[in-house]
Amino acid sequence: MTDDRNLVDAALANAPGAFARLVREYQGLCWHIIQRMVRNPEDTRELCQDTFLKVHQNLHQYRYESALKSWIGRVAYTVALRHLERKRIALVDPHIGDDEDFSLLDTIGDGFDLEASCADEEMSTHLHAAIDALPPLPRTVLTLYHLDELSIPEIAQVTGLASGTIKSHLFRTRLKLRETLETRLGVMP
Amino acid sequence: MNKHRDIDFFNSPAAAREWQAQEAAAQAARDGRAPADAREASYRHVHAALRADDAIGLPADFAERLAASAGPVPTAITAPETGLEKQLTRLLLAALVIAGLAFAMFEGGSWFQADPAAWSVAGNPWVLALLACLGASQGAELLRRRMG
Repeated sequence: MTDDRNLVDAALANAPGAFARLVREYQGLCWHIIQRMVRNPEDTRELCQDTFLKVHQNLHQYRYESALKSWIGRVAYTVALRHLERKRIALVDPHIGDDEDFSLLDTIGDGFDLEASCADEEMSTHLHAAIDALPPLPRTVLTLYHLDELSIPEIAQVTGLASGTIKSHLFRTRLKLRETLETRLGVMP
Repeated sequence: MNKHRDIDFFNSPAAAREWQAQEAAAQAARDGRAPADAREASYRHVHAALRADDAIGLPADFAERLAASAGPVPTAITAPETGLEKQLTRLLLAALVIAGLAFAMFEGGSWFQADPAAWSVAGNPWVLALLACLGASQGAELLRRRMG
C-alpha cells in the first residue's frame, strides 16, 4: 500500500516517468482481464489504452481504500464489460445451474490416472480449448485467481461480485474443466 | 447479470470436498509438491493450463507512448469538473439564488420594515455563526485541495 501511495503521489505530482511506471506496473493485469473478457487482441490493445486513459483522468479520485491493482483492475473490468455489452455478448452461460454441479460430482471418478493415459501436450491442448470456450466472466475470474493470484476479496473488488459468487464461479468452472478433460480423454462413463 | 445460485458449501459436503481438492491442487503446484491423488492431479493440470497463457500483446513502449500522449496527470485542482452530479448541483444552486432573489424582491421590503435589527450582521449572533461555518467549510476545502 505504501508503494501504491508513492507511485500515485509521484504520478499526481507529475514526476518524470511516474505515470509510465504506473502503466508498466499494471499493464499485465489490465491485459489479462480485458483479453480474457473480449478474446480479441486488437480490441484488447485498444481497450487497454482506454483503461489507462481513464486511470490518467481519474487518478486524483483514488482514495487508497483498496489496493491500486484492484482499483485499476476495476477500471479495466468495467471497460471490458461495456465493450461486451455493446456487442451483446453474454458474460455467463445461462444454462449452467446447481443441478449440473452435483451431477458432475456424481459422474466424475476419483481414481483415474491422467498421467498414465495421455501426454501432457495432449492434455494441455484439450484444456486450452476448453478454457477458450468458457464464457467471459468465469474465464476472467479463473485467470485473476490462478494467473494473477488475486485473492477472492480482491476479485470481488475488481468485478463488483460477492465473494460467494466468485467462489461458486471458481468451483463450477474448475469442475467443468476437469470433467471436460476426463471426458475428452475417455474416462467418463 | 448473474443468474447463478451461489453454492452452499456448508450444506454440501461433496462440493466442499471437491473445493478442497481444487484448492489443494493449486497450493501443491505453488509449493512444488506432488499431487496427493488422481483428482488433485487433474486439477493441477487445470491450474497449469490457466497459468500458461500469460503472454501480454502490448508493444514494448506502450507505457511510455501512452504517458506521453496523455500529458500531465490532472490533480484535484486541475481536473475539469465533469459529471451529472456537479451539473445538477450547479443547477440547484442557480435555482436557489433566483428563488431567493425573487422572494427578497417581493417580500424583503416588509421584512426589513418589521425588524431592521435582523439585517445587521454584527448585531445578530446567528448570522455570525453562519458566516463562521461557511468560512470554516471553505477553508477546509481549500486546504484539502492544496494538500491533495
